[in-house]
Amino acid sequence: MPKRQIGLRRQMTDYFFTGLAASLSVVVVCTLVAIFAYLILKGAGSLNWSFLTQTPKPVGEVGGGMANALLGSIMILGIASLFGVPIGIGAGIYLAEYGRNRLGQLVRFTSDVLNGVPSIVIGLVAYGLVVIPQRHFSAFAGGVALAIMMVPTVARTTEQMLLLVPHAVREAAFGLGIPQWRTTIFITLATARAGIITGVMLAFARFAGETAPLMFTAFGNQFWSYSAREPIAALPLQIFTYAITPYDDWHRQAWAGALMLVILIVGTTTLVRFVFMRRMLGGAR
Amino acid sequence: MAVLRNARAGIMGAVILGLGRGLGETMAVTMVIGNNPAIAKSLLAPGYTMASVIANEFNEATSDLHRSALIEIGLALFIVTIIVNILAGLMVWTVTRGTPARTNA
Repeated sequence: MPKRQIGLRRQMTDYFFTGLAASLSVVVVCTLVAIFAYLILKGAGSLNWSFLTQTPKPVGEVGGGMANALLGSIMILGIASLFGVPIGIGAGIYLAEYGRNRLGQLVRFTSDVLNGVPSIVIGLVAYGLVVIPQRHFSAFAGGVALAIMMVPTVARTTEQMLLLVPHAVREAAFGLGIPQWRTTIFITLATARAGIITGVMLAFARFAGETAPLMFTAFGNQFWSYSAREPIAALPLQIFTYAITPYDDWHRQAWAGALMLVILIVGTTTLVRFVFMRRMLGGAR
Repeated sequence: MAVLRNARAGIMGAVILGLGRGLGETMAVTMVIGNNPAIAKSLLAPGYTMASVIANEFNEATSDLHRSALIEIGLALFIVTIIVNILAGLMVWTVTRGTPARTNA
């Protein structure tokens, strides 16, 4: 159809809205770029070797680092995945393989709601469940709080990944007389393995940045702590604590910590996506 | 136009879910809102959110009454979240209802 017949006005409208949609997508990208750029500007100067290897120094002394917070974050995430990942994967298997019924619907809805519960409320719940009976803050309590948040994410990702496995694969297994439980564990789950691992790693990256649920559970600590029964530092928590103090040196450390957290999270996410993409391409015969 | 119209309820649902996420956001808000326990007349004046009240005061609450009050704010926040999620779920459901569930073929 010749352009002339469409009319200048309609053509202009088309250009305008296409341009609007395109520039709004650019805004999405720019937000991340702006955050990254600002963090590098503010934090790169304070990110050095002692930051990664030392514990915090008292106010007034220059130097020190967040090594204990790094270790704390790793410990809390480890405890969280110890509880959260098996429960999440188990629930995901149920939803994908047996969940075409009322109970499945209920579980799906519940996990969606749980996914939307504010993190601070999860922190309160973990406080009530773990900290009050034990009478002290601990890394364990922080792990429980993050585990509660991890379960719905891991469950829904596992379900999605298992549903991606072609039904013909299951039917082939049934045709060979393999019972359903063996099919699920050794065929469906094995096929979806790369996807499930990706989901778990992405959940990891997401909850590594959570501060609110750790405030009343892990509590934070200025010293080395290796025990799950003691209060422990966590990277996001330490950033928050430092950022709201009036000391310039601690502000610098907070910026450096934030930069490191973002690098860790973006790094994990990118790496996982890259590996997963390759697996997907390799798997598509 | 046709695409947007058909997806209208689903997009609304997604918007409401996003709203629910923002509603419960704690730390990003706590750091910048000013934490003033009063109802401000101006949008530019310091204020408070439910989540940031809990974040700020819970570790400093010594009396049982104070602690209970903060946990009740948590309960209120939780109820709001559930209502928002049910609303959003219903809206998404009205869109996906007509289409067949994703098959494994």
